[in-house]
Amino acid sequence: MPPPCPAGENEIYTMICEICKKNQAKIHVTQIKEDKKISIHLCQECAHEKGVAGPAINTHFSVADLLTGLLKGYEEQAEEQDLQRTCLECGLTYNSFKESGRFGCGECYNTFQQEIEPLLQKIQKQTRHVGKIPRRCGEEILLERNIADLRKRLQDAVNNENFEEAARLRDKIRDMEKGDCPH
Amino acid sequence: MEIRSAPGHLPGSVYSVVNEGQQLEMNQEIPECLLRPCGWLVPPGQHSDLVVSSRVRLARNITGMPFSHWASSSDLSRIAETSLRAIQDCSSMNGATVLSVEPLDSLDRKYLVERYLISRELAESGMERYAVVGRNEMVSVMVNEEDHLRLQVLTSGLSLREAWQRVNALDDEMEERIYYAFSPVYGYLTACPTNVGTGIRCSVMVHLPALVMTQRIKKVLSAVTQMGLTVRGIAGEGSEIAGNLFQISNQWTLGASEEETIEKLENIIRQIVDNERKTQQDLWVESRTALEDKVWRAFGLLSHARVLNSREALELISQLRMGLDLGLIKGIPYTAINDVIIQSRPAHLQKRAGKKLIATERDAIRATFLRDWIRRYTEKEINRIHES
Ligand SMILES: [Zn+2]
Ligand SMILES: [Zn+2]
Repeated sequence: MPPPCPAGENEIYTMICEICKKNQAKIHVTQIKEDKKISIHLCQECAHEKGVAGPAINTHFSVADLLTGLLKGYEEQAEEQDLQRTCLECGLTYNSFKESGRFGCGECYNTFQQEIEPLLQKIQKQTRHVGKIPRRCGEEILLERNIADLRKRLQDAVNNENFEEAARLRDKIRDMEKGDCPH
Repeated sequence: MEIRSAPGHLPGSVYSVVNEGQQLEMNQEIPECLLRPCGWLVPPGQHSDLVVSSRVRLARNITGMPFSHWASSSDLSRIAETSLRAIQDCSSMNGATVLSVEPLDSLDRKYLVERYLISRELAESGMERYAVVGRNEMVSVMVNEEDHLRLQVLTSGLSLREAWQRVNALDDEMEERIYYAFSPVYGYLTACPTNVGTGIRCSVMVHLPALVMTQRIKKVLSAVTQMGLTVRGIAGEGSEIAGNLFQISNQWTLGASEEETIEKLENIIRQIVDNERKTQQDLWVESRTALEDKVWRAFGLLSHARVLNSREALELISQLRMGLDLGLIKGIPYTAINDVIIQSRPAHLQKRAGKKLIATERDAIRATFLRDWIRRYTEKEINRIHES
C-alpha cells in the first residue's frame, strides 16, 4: 500500500463542522504554526460567521485533497469488480488508487483508462496531451500531429475554395501517411 | 563510468558517481555552499518590486519502474542510481551537489524545505531520496519524491520563460539518458493524475500588500482560481497566507502546452501586479498618513523589537517592502528583502545558531537578527531621520 496522499487528509470530506457540530464541514483551513500543522474544519455558515481570518484564500484546500474528494464521488457508480481490478504491471487495485489518489506505475493509466477519463475531464483542461514529447519516442507522434495539423489546414482551404492549396496539402498528407519525408 | 562506493555506505546506494572527470559530490550533511544566501535570488528579475520569484518544475518518471510510493527498496535504489547517473552527465548540472535525505536530521531537512530545494514530502521520507542541487541553487532535482524525478528551476522576479528554457534544456539532456514514462495520449505519466501531461508546475510568488489591505484581494484571487490557477501561501501546499505573499501556479497539466501555460500565468501575474501598483497609488492618495504610519511602525519594530515570531516578522518585512514600493524607505535592495524572508525562517535561524532552539529562543534570535539586518542597510537613513 502506498501511503495516503501526503497533502490530503482523506477523511476530510466527511467531517463535521467543529463549531456547530451539526453541518458537514466544507471549509478546511490548514495552518502551519511554528512546526505544527493545525487543521480546522468548518461548515460554510460557521466559516462565514467567523470570517475565517483574512483574505478568502485561507479556505484553500490542496489539489490533492480535491482529487480524493472527486474520486469518492465515483464510488457509488463503480462496481465491486471494478474496484478489485488490478494493474498487471504493478499490482495496484483501483480501490487503492481511489484511497491514495496515486497510481502505482505508468501502465496504470492504461489499466484504469475507463475510470480516469471522467476524472481527468474534471481536474484537467482536456484529456489529451498537448506539449512536449520526448525526442526519442516522439517521431511518430510528431508525424501524427503534423498530419492532423495538415488535415485541419486542408479543411480550411476547401472551405475557402482555395483548391490549389487544398490539392497541395492533400498530396503532402498522402506522402506523410506513406511514411515519406514530408519535405 | 564507474560508481564508487564509500566505505560503510549502504550497498546498492550510489555514493559518488565518477565520469570523465565530472563528479557529483555526495553529502551526508548540508554543505558549506548551501549556508550562504540563495544565489538565484541575487540578480533582480522583472517586476522584482512585487514579484519575489518564479519557479518551473517538471515531473518525470522512468519507464518500466513503479512510481516511488509503490516501489520496493531495491526499486528505489535502482531508480536513484539511474537518475543520479543521468544527472551527473548533464551539463546543466555541472558542479552540482547531491544530498542524501536519509542521514539528514529534521532541522537540516526543514532548512532545505525553507530554501525550496526539497518538498515537505521529500523531507518526511527516508531511504534512497536525494536532492541534487546545482550551482547557485537555481537548478535542482529531487529524486524519488512522489515522482522519480522533479526537475526544478528557481529564478528571481517574473521570469517563467527563462526558468522554462533552463529546465527544458535539462530535461532534454536527461531524456537522452533516460527513457521517460510517456504516453501519446496522456503525455508524461506521473504518480498523481493532477500532474500528468506536461508534468509542468509553474509558480510565481507575488507580494500584494495593498490588495490585501483594501480587501480587493478576494476578488483577484477568486478570479485567479476560476481561471484554472491555484493560490498558496509562502511555504507551498497547505500553508497559510502570511506576509501578503501569494504563490500562484497553474493547475492544468493536461490539454495545455508548456508555452500556453507559461504565457497565461505570466499574463495574469502582470495584471495582478498592475492592479497592486494602482491600489498602492490609490491608497497613497486616500490615506497617505495611515500608510506612512504603517511603514514606519514596521521600521521601528524591526529596528528595536526584542521578540518577533515568524508570522509577525513576515508581516513587518512586508510593510517595510511596501515602504520601498512607495519610496518612503530607501537603500534596501529588494533582493535583500527576498533573502531576509528566507534567512529569518525557523530552520535558517537555528542552522546559523548551530543548534536546535525552542520557539521563544527562536523569536528572540529572530528579533536580534532582523535588528542587525535592518541596521546594516539603514544606518544612514536613521541618521538622516534623527538630524531632520
Ligand atoms: Zn458549523
Ligand atoms: Zn500500475
